[in-house]
Parts: sequence; C-alpha cells; structure tokens
Amino acid sequence: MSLPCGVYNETYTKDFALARTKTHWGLLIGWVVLVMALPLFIGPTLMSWLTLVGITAFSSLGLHIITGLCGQMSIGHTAFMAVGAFTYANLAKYGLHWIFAIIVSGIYGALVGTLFGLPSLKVKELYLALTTLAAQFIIPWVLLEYFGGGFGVVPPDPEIFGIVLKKHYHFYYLAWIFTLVFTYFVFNLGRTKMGRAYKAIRDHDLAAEAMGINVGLYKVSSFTLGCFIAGIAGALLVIWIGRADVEHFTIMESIWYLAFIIVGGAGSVAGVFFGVLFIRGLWELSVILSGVLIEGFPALPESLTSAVPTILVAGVIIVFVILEPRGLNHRWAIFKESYRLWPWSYW
Amino acid sequence: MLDSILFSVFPGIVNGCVYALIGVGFIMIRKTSGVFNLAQGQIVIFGCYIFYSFGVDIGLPIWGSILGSMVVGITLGVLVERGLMRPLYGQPIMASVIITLAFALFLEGILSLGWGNEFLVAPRIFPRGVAVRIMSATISYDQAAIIFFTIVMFALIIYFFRKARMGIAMMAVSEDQTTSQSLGIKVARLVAISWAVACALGALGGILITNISGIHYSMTEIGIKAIAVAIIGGFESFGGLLIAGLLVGVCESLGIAFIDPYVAGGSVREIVAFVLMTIILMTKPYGLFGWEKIERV
Repeated sequence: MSLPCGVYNETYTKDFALARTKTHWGLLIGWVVLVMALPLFIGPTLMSWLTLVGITAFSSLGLHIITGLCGQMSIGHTAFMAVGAFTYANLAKYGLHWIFAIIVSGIYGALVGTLFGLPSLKVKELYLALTTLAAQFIIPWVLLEYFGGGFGVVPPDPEIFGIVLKKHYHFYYLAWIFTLVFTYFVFNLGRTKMGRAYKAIRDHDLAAEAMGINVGLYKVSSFTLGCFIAGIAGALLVIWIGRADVEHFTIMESIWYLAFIIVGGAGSVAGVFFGVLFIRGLWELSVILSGVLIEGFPALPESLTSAVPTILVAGVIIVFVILEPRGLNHRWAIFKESYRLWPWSYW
Repeated sequence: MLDSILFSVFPGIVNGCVYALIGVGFIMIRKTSGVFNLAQGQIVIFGCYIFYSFGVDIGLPIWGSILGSMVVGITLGVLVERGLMRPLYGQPIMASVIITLAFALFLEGILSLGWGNEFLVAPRIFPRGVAVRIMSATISYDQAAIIFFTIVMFALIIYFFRKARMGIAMMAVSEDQTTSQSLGIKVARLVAISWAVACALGALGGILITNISGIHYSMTEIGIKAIAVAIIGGFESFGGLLIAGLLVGVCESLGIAFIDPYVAGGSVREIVAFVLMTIILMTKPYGLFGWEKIERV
C-alpha cells in the first residue's frame, strides 16, 4: 500500500495495520456509517436493490476465496448457495431457531463444497471447473427431487428480540452486517499464512508445492471456506425473498458470479464490490432502459427486457477480459496513484 | 423385460450419437487451442434456429436450409476465433474459458430476443414412419438417419485424423503448439478451421436432434452434456468418443425406464451425464480412452 508523502511505517504493528492514517480511519468510519445510515434516506426500491447487492457481494466473497485467491475456477457457485438456501428453509420450517439455521446452512454448504472440491486433488484447472459445472446440475436436481424444490420451501419469518423481520430495512441491515463482518474476515484471510498459500497456488502450483505448501489440502480448503460463505449467502437470500426455489440458482447465475469477480478484478476484495455494483447497476439500468424502449416502440418483442440486459452484461464481460483483464480494481488503483501524485502524476 | 430394455435403448442410442457428434467439435477446439468451449450448446441451438428461419421464414428447401445453417455456423466459428479468441493468445487459458462462458450468455440473449420463448417445430427432414422393428421396439426414419449419419461422419473424421494432411497437422498441434508452429504448421489457421468445423458439426447435430423434439432455447444443455461425454471418452480417440456418447445415451434411457418410477418429480436424464463425468474425473481423470499424461499436483 502506498502511503501519502511523509508517512512512513516505523513499527511492525504499523506496517500490518489496515487503516494507517487519519484519512484512512475517516474514510473507513465514513463508509460504515454511510452504509448503516442509508436506509433513513432512500426508498424501498433502491433499498431492496441494495439488499440484493449486499447479498450478492457477500456470496461473491466466497467465490473470491475460491477463484480470486486460490485460482480454482468454480462454475457452480449458486449450486452451493442453493444447498444453504434449502438447508435454511427446511430447518427453519421445522422450528430451528433461524440464527442456528443460518450457521447450519453454512456448514452444509461447506460440506457439499468440500465434496465437489475433492476432485481438485486429482484434476486441475478446466477439469475442475467441469466438476463444479456438474455440481451446478446435480445439486439443484437433488434439491428439486428430495428437498421440496418444486413448489419452493417457505420458511417462517425470522424473529429477533420480539421483532419479526419482514420490513425492507430489516433485510438491508441483515445483509449488510453480514457482508461488512465477512469483508473484514476475508480481507484478513488474504494476509494470513493460509491466504498467502492460496495466492502461491494460484500463481504457480508447482512452485508452491516445492515450497512445502500442501497444495491438495489448500485447494480443498478453499472450497470449504468459499462454500461456507455461499451457504450462508443462500440462507440470507431465502430470508430476503421469503422462499427457497431452485429457480434462483441456475447456471446463468453462476456465470454472473464469475463475472462479478472478473470485472471487478480477480484477487482483490475491493474488486468484488466494484464488480457487483457495476454489473448489478448495469443490469438495473438496462432493464429500465428496455422498459422505456418497449413503451416507446410496442412493435419490439416482449423478451427485450430480459434479453437486452443479458447481452449487455455478456458484452461487458467480454470487453473486460480482452481489454482490462485486471478489472475495475486496477483502474481504481491507477486513479488512486495519480491522485496521490497529483499534480505531478504521469499516467 | 428384454422388450422394454430394447424399447428404451434405441432412443438412447440416438441421443448418444448426437452427443458424440457435438462432442467432436468440442474436442477439436480443445485439442488445437486448449480452450474448453462452454458455449457449444448455445452455438448448436443457434444453428437450429437458423435452420428454422431458413426453412420457415425464408422458405428455402430443406437441403438449402441445412447448407445455409452450416455456412452460418462456419462463419460464426471463424468470427468467434478472430474476434474473441485471437486477442487472448498468451493469456491464461482461464480467460478464454470465461470468454466462452460470456459468449454463451450473449448467444442466450440473442436467441431469446430473436426467436422468443415458444417451442418451434422445424420442417421435417425425414418422413414419419417406422424404419426398423425389433419386437415392440421401433426405430423411426429420422432416428435411423441419425445413427447412419453419425457412423458415416465418424468414419470420415477418423479417416481425416489418421490420413489427411490437415488432420495429422491438427494432431501435431494438439501435441505441442510451439513445436508444430516452428515446423511450419499454421496453428492460427488450424484453430480457426477447428472452430468452424465445430460450429458446423454442432449445428448439424442440433438440427438432426431438434427435428425430433422441436427447438427451444433451454435445450442448450445438450452442449454441456456433449462436453461431459467428451470428458468421459477422453480427448485422444474419436472411436472412444462415440462409445462414451452411446454409453451416456443408453444410461440415460435406461435411467428413464428403470429409475424414474422411483423418483418423485423430474427425470434422472438431466443428471446422468454429469454423475458419470464426475465419477470418471475422480477415478480416471483422462477419460476412458484418453492417454494418461504424467503430471503431478
């Protein structure tokens, strides 16, 4: 991290600190307060969109561990979310307290994720991606057949301190508190022994093994951690939507999650948020835009509202992979650097 | 008993042939450029819709519209290679796989925009009626045609890769890109050709199978099943690919006949290929007939 002119790290504690200058602290507190205070000022539409962004970002943190940190491509992320979702819905329906149900759904997600991560002991890269693709087909099918996916499972509304959670801002706070707490965890994970081992495996697995890293163990554990988060994200999604349904966990959704990571910039936590905000925002804008188009030109086909956003998002992914593989976060870094050096910045 | 087994095996053989036919394109792309083309299913269904449009909207004769959709497929393949794959030379292989995923999403949008949500019935290529009858099991003309066509196609493909100059060059490229480039093989051109052939063959296989079932954009799953078949067969032998296709197809229809009555709602058909693929990947990662490459980690 580059620091402003005249600020140096003098101790190890300072070197390891997350927020180092007063500006950092100010920005950090400012952002948290902004996120927490936002529901006071915005309407229900924007709030539910932000709730969706929060849950998506939370789930993307899980994929960030698998794909961004450890470099294992997972095309089945929403399948692991579905495991959590159905675990939560079924357990809550049978009367387990919802907080325990959330934790159990995370654990179940982690178990299933570990199971489908096990092939990473034997196969690499694209073959591994294909086993996650298989998970994307097998898991929703099993849920559909044996866990009531066909009609959807409706859990009771969660309740805390006598308050039933069913207002927009309840869900908003639930999603964002989870997201903020786990952002802190995941950000720190990248700086621990485990996270550095992941990055070493991502960059060169043979070299990592030569350095004494247990490659197989770490690959599988990245799936365990990432799918734990995915499971919880699925539970949060169910709490927000009100029912668990396999329709929310299709392969297209999984591709979207990959897109968040890629467009944001693989391997950085900030990139996750950039990617989610950018693509979800783009989607929302293009839905509005195509709605306006349909009103203006009734001759256009009905399917425009779903097709145009899909095409647009796909185009954005293609453009980003070809022109800016390092993602939005790289642009942000360039911006920060030129701001730091202003007025003598040179790019 | 034998009767019901035969009754369910024949449709399975037909489906398996189509999987193998689509899988050929996938393997060719994989071998020449190392890319897993996850957009295969979308390309296949795109070809089917083009066939429909040529046949119904424009009114070409059937052979004309088959040729037309294959030409469109070839063009699409070359365009994808030029526009999406070539800028990524030298990038990690993951990047190009993500590009194919995004391209799949893109085509999905185009399909639902262009042809809507309804099941479309393309003009029939073969007449209705029963060609072969063994006990109560029957094979209709279009099913027989698919089986026959697949056998011919595979004979041609195996000949192509054993004897033809270009086929041997493709095998060389799959073995080592850099060496074959330095020996004077035009790798980029071969990659473009393999994309073109993959798209054309995919379109053809799709046309044949949708002639029986009707076209809908949710059928893009067939492409992913074809990928599963290719994994099961391994990447080195085309005969192995055909066997893997038949294996998956027959397992699917046996599953429909004998397991489905005990399953609540849907059909095991949707997951048989993936379960088989996962098992194969866990036990024999290079497929049933693939060459084992020694590589640790």
